[in-house]
Amino acid sequence: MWCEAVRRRERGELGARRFETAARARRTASLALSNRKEFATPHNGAVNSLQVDLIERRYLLSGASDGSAAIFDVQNAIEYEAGFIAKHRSILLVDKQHENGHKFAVSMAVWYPVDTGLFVTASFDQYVKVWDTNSTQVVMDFKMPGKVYSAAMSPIATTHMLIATGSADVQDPLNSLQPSSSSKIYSAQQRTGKSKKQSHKLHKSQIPGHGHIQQRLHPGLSSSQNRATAHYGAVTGLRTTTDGMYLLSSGSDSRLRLWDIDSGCNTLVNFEAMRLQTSKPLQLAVTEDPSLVFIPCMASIKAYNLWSGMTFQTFRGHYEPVNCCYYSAQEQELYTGSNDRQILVWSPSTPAFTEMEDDGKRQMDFVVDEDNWSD
Amino acid sequence: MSVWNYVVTAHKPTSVTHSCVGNFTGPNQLNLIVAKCTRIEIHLLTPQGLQPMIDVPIYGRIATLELFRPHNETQDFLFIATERYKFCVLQWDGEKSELLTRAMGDVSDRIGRPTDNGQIGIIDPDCRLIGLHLYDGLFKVIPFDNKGQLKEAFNIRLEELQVLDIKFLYGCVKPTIVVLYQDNKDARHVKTYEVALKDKDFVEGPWSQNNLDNGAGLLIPVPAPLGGVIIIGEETIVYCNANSTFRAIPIKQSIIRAYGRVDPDGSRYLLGDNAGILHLLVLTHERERVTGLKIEYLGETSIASSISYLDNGVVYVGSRFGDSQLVKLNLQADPNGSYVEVLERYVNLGPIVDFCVVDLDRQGQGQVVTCSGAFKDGSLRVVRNGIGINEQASVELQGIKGLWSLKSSFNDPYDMYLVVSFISETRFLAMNMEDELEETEIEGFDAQTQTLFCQNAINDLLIQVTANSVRLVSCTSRELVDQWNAPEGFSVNVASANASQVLLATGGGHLVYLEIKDSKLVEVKHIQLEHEISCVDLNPIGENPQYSSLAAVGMWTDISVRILSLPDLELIRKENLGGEIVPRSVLLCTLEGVSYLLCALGDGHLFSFLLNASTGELTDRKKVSLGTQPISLRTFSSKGTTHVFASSDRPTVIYSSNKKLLYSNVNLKEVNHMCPFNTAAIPDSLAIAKEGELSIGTIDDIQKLHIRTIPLNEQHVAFAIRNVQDTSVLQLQHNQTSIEESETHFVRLLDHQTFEFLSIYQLDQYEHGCSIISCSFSDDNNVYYCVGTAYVLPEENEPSKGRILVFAVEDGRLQLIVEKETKGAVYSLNAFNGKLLAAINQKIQLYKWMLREDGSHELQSECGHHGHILALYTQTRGDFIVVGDLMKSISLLVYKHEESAIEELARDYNANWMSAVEMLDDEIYIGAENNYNIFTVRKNSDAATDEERGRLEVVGEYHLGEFVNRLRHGSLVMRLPDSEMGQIPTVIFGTINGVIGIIASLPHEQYVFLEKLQSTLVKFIKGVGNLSHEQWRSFHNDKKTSEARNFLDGDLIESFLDLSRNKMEEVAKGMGVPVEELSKRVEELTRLH
Repeated sequence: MWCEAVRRRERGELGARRFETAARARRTASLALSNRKEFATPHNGAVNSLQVDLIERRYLLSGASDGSAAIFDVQNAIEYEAGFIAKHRSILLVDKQHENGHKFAVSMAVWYPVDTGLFVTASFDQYVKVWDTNSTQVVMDFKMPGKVYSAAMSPIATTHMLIATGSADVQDPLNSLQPSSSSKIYSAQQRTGKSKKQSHKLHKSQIPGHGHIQQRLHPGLSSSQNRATAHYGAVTGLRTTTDGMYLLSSGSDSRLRLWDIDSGCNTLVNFEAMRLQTSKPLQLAVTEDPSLVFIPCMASIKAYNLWSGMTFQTFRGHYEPVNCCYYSAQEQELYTGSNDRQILVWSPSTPAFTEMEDDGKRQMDFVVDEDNWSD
Repeated sequence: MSVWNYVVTAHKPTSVTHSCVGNFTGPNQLNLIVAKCTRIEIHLLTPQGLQPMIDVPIYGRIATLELFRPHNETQDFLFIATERYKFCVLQWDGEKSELLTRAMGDVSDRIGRPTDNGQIGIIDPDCRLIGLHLYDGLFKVIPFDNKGQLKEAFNIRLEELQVLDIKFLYGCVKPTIVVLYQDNKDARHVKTYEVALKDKDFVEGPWSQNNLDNGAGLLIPVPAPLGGVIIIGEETIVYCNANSTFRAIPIKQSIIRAYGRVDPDGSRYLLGDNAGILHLLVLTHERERVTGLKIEYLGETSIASSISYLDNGVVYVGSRFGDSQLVKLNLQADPNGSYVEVLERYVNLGPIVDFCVVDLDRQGQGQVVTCSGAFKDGSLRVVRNGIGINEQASVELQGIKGLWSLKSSFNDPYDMYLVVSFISETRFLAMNMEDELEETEIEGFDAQTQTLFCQNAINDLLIQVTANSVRLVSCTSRELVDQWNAPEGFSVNVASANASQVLLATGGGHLVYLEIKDSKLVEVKHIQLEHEISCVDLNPIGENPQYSSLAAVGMWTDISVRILSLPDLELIRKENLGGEIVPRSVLLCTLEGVSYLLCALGDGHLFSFLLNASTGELTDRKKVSLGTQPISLRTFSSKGTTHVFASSDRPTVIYSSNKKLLYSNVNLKEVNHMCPFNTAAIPDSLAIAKEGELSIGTIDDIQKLHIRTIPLNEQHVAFAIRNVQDTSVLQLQHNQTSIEESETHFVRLLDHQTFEFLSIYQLDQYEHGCSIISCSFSDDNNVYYCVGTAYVLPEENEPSKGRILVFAVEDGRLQLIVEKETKGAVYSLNAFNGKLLAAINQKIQLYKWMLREDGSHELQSECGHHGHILALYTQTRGDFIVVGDLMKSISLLVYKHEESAIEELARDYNANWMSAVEMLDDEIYIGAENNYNIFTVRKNSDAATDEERGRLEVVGEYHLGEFVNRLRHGSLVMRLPDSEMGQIPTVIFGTINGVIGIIASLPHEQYVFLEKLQSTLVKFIKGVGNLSHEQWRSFHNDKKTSEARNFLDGDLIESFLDLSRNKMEEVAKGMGVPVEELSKRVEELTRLH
């Protein structure tokens, strides 16, 4: 109970940290399609990538198959519908009409981790572009040898400014579905300026590395199995837990696996059956604890308990296969993007709100561990 | 107020988090070491009891406190780890009597998720390694080398994610840990691992035990030769060991959180549960084989957070929810069946759930009434700065010019007579047989003139000094024995005497020194000084309590104070005081073995000097301002210690603590004269002459903050107290009879003076009190109590129903006037423009007070504002409202009268989980959050863009290291309108650990000066364990760490006054300011609390 938990925190009976964890868990457990927040999609194609910035955790960046990328303010709505429902329209959009816009689908859009002044888009038009958020101009672009499937920047790096990209190797088109099949890392040297906008010069420097998951033999695995294989099929999605200790991978074999990063061993958590898209990269999301993993399963999104592998909840709302999900630890909200062009918000349900709207649809099946609140 | 804030602790943390016992300060000295969150106290066990040795701050919240003894050492070392991943190993330096840092370091990792169940730090009993569990899934090992030095730490992967407890086992060849954990099906198990130091990995241990009590939460390792571990559950206690011995006993359901080992061989343990019951657990054994467990009820103590068995059946019980105790375990039960006898209680204010600042005595000085303690130890505490005089008797008497007490004989421990001097007469009061004061006569004394001085003298004599004579009267016969007459044409102006000496000054600068020899007054010396004499004193400070070899004299004209030698009245030292104000009172005194010369001026200033009693040398001159009127100084003793009372318009007690002079004001408005009046009926009392009144009263313990406790019996204070019109105090509390029974909440009305229950209103079933205020509404002169509640139903995640109850107080009874149902818990209530503002779940709602046609009232909702996760805390000022959200920091709302609507103006976009908010002024708001930080935000009303105006700019950040439950405007000290400090606005905060602190907004110039002082002091005052002050005070949460800004650490700055003179001078040199000025400025700051 909120009321009691706040009192127990006041007395010091419930540690501040545990209060926070339990409150987060409780809210996450009550996620449902938001009845007070909506994103108005500006995209005309499938939404492929979603990310909230790491600085203010306020701006959602989306990339879509129509070559567009958009930014939304997740905290402040542009307008309100029917009094309660906050309508969040994009505050920035770059699409094909833009002089520097991507010609083909944007496969990945990521924020520059230290500043919301820049973001990076990767596209099937073989370009990786770095954008200045304030002027909406491309400040840097890179031509890659093939379609770029993925791009990433380290959120904790302090000594380098590298962008990792996964692109199709022209010589080996079979591997092209594997985002990690060929990766190139680019470094950006930062000239620190006094203005908020920073100028960047990026140049190729690193050597491509092959990104199969290294698997050590786990005592539980029989020797007949291929040790080097993580999935029977393409690896379609990768996500590390926020504590940096585990890696989740999804494959075209419709499997989700949890790996111990330190040892490289499969933790052998058996995730309940799921059906995954095989033809597209998937963006998974993990809660901060980490207790739940969110994975797009065709037109729905499933939340699995990370340790037991049990299905915790299934989110149904999209009409077409879902490509990406992003969990905002700050708001305890889940954002999902799908082929139906929509970005949906799943937020902790608040009974008082539903009551005010008189729809009386109260989610009573919170499967929260009651022990969370006890000592 | 301003953005430049100064944070200082007025009441140190008192809730005890850890304690341990060992030989820390010497091989043969037994010490109790107590951790109070951010401080450690070291006590020495003596036959007389616990003797405090040191009390030092730690730059961190203590997560682990362990004593250990490396090989080849004769005394223990102290290992401390802080919640922000710093650790240090301390050793006692016997020569300097201070803590030495043996090792320190940082054990943070970049990967891993901090544990929710609390950090664990343990030391191998054979001192091979230190083990730390700080992140889920990781076990950090710091190995010792052969010489007992710490080597580089490494991590071992721990498969168990939900670890509840880890302990080292005794008597294992390889260091072995036992882990109590919960699996993802919520079953609890224990498992053992051997630590392979070479491989830096775990090896599966010798045994494990699955499926324990679901409430198992504590492991107790049993020393060799028994070995093994005791697992404490909620319903069973289990012993197991490597030889697969398994013994279990059922216990009455309770949660045991603290244990203390009684015998070194580990056969008896003390267990303290969450109801404050102390049990004894006995391991019965045959040689080295455990045959069974036995548990016995011992008695009731405070709810223990730590138990340390000292010696001879004496146990220290540290508590977080109530007073910590020193208890004795008796062999025989008392009539109530309890073996526990409480020897001593140590006041603990924590957890301060709520407090309010009131002026109960109407002296113009704020007092803080706190809602302290939890569960059965819930209480109200009245915290007052300064020393209270509890008046026992008083009589109206106009025009008192002097006051002295006399004993009936020289060796009588008690005073008998009270001499009251008036402008043209002297009256004598005496204690009669019925212990009443009645007027009497002392025949030998001159009752027709004003008395200048009175004193008991040797040989059972009494001395009376008047303007024309000095009289010596026998105690027994009360007859005049001898008399000394002032020379013709001169009258005595000032005089002082002790048991054998009299010093008096007459007009014309004549100074006459008399001695009592063989019951005769003998004029020993007569000198003439160049100026008139304003005051004299010859209080003995040397070894002989009856004879002084020094005299102090204050002078007119050259404004000086002089030290003269006795008996020859040679000038030893002359100290010019400067200025034009004449010294009005001088006093030689010895406090805590240190001799001082105090000299008070006519304008309320006081000089203090260190006095060398043998040479008469004066050093360490300090000047403080005590009041605005002339001061007269007098010594008195309380509980066997000597203190000084300074009578003036702002009476002050000067006392010494840690050989440092401290000033504490007294809760009286104006005192003209004071004398100690220690009678058999009222020991240690004081006679006090005020304007038109003589009163006799006892004095509180001499300490700066004075705390009065009003226990609330077995009640469990759930909420708060407020006061209104100084008539009553209201609180919400609930009564929990046992764990199973449902709780019932009450609204109680208490008398504001006696704190007796006046009236009770019982809330509904499942209804919890959440908030309470006293307020009045527009168009209605009555003052009401408004109570916000919530219906806490077991199946509901979030309360969906609550009430606002409006009570009036009629003849000391609570009358429910209006009730209004709400759609959620009423977390906060505020009076707002003659209306009532409530925070209900996600919503801020404003209610109007409406008069119905039939003359009754109702609350009518006017407007509201949505968009919070949970609006837990609100504060208002004018039309502005600040809201502290559960997790979305502070937002600023405004009420628009014309549109009758509440709109959001701005918000802080950081994700701070709030615990308290307050508005410092119209522009600046302060908040406290879940990670023990405080921060200030500023309204950007002048910003250019909407975006910037809609954002509250964070202007100050600071790591307080304390969980703040409440912030309120107010002050603990009397505000003198003419002093500089009187102008500084302050906010008081109260925390879980019982800290009361002050946040003062400083003028910019002063802030800059003190900031420089702080950065200079950091170089001179090293943190215990070499922990960094800068890191400690940096704002820190999961997302970021940033340097403290616009907040100053007052505790560090004020520790300047504890430095040695040399160090002070060095600091002053670094600052480029004279030491005196620096001390004065810092001393002024100490007057804020």
